[in-house]
Amino acid sequence: MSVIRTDNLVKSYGKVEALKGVSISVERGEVFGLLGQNGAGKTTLIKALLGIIKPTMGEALLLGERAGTASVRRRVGYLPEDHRFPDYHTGASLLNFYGALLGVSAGERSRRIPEVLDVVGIKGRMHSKIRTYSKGMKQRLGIAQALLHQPEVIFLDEPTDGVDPLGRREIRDLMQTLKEKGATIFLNSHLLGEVELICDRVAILQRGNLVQIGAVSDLTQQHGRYSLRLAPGDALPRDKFVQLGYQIARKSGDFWEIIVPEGKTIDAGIACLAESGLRLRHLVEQRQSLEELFIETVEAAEPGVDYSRAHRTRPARGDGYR
Amino acid sequence: MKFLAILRDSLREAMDSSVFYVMIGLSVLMILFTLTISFTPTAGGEAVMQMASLPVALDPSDLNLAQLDPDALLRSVLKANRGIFQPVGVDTIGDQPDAPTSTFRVTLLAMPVPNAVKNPGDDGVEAEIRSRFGRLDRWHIAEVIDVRRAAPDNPHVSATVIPFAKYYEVTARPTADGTRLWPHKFSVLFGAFTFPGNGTPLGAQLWLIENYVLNGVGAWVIVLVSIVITSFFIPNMLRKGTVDFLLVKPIRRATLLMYKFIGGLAFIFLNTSFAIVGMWVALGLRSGVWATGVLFTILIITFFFAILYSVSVFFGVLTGSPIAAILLTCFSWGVLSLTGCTTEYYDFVKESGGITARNAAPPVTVAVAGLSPSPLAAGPLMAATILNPEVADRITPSRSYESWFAQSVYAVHYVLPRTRDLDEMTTHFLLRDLVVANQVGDQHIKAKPLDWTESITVSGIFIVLLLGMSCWWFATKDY
Repeated sequence: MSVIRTDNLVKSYGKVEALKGVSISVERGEVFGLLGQNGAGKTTLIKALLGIIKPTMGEALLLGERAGTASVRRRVGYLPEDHRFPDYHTGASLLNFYGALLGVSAGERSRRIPEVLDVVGIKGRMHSKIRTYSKGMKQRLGIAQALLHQPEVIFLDEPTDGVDPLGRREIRDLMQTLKEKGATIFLNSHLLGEVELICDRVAILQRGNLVQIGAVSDLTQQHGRYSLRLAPGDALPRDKFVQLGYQIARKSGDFWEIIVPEGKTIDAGIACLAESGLRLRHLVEQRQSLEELFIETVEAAEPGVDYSRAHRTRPARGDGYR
Repeated sequence: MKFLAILRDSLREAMDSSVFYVMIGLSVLMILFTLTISFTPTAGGEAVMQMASLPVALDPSDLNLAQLDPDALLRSVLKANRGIFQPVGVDTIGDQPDAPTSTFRVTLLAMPVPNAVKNPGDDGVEAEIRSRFGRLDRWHIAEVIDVRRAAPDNPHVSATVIPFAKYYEVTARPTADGTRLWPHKFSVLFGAFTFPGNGTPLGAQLWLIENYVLNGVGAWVIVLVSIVITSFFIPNMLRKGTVDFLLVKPIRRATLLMYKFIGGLAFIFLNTSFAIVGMWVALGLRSGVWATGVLFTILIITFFFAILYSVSVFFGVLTGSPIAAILLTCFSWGVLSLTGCTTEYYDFVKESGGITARNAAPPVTVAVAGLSPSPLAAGPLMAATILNPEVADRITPSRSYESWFAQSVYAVHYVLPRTRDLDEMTTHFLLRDLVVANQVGDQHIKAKPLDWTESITVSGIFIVLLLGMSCWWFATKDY
């Protein structure tokens, strides 16, 4: 049974449809990435799943129950995007407050709070007022509060926002550890490189529509496109390759890009090289990066829009599109 | 657990504000200043013992003790029908000073009246004097030690020669209640500044301090500052990026809002308790009077604040702006006070038969009535019109309470919280403890018969309605 499932989810704000019939499912133990431009409906989808907003139509199920019920919320951790903590708290007192609201016993809180703050690396400042924290520390505290009660599902909306590269790697490692422990993670990030590294599956939202969903490896795989390099001094037998039906796309340095048509395999090409006495040094089936996939998908959804130019007008939020 | 967590969070938020420390600082200053007040008893044995003698012959609740006049006294004595008992001499026993701790001998001149229930000279009169002496209203102002017929060598007896008169000697000592009636001089800064005059009854001084300084200015400051501090609670909670953390916790939104509301109330309750208990202790230490009525004002101020805080929560949820919540709450406070005052005015006009100080000619009023020129002094004004036809001719009764405006004010007052009534209630509690009935004017205790149940119920319904609407809005809104 899916841990997260939405069925034809629609959310309208007046005439604006933020979600237009989104159907997704996330299995237990998966790290699921949600991609999309600003205003694509990513945060709306997360909020609908958490019961912060009420869907106009459709169904959202979390852990087998209707999304937003108290019993479900007890089993879910959430780090919102652009969050603001009440800065009159210290890191420890804030977690103590949230832990009490989550129903975590006092004894468990006193054990878990230093532990979880240690995990995110701010234990040394746990008794300092939050207003003295840097943005990165606040982000780490946000992750700590999402993990405090050891939830089964964790929603992280831009978890590495404001965190330095070293911290990002730590957060990535932390997510990996959580995944290994069986937690399901629903990740929303603009940093596509990170999503690609961490997520098992991704979905791309475009103006409220789900335009792509699948395993990262499946979506980024480019069937029949290979990168090939021969030993120095050896020349590629172009004619023989053309006779085999292959297309030689381009040469970049010593690397040739070969496109193998559907119905044929690269094996014939490898045999051809061997018969010709040529020495193969490098042969890799090429993959598309998630970033390329994202841009391609978005452009396909709305042809004629120059996203690279649009991106330049939004430097603050558009870093992940490059 | 969740309730306590939110309560602690609210207190933490309030204590984070510098305004909170200003308020606590002001309270501490007031308490420290109060500790420098001195109440020094002046010569008052004669006045207090005369007052203690009144109940022997009459029912003192019929009198305006602040403005005793012989005619009123005589009417009251005749009405009580117990004979005339008039103190003709008050002396301390031995060399004791004229002080609240001394024992006094009161010589009563007693004269019979026709058809009295019991007249001087009858059997059991001593016992009657013993049981009634010093029993002023609810108070027991003097403890009787002995009652006997006066000895012939009593100087007050020999000085008065009245046919049929009999004399009694009452040996009595002022009680703690009696000390409240005893005139005291008032000084501050450990006697550095002493107010002029021969002294005012201690209870009346305490009443003035508690009613006007503590329950007046003090409560006003506490409520105003609390409005400012607590108006940030809800908008801060609803800020984008903050509210999400709370909405994903397993707690109903309405419950969250209610807990936050109670957190605000707890804040003012603690603040008010600190200020009022502190002042009460300081006044108790300096005066020796430990009247507990003032402590009820903690609950009344908290309830008063609950009315305003429900308004603040409503506008806080609706607008999400602390400034809007503060301004609209203060505006509502003004509307409630104005409605209360206007209703009180029309009630007064109605009760006085349409005759007010405003439409009576002021110079004649003061001259003829010879009493308080206060617009509240409807009783004397009416008496003046009866006694002096010239005044009556110059008075045109007003029926302004029947105007459409007055009816509109009544309608609004009917459905809105009765904040003025709460004010009256506080005054009532303080008066009961510190001032003998009528000592500071009849109107304070008797002129405004209020239906407390109705007042509190209407105010309570108002709070419930506003909170209900706030909860509904909060629970159904997308954040």
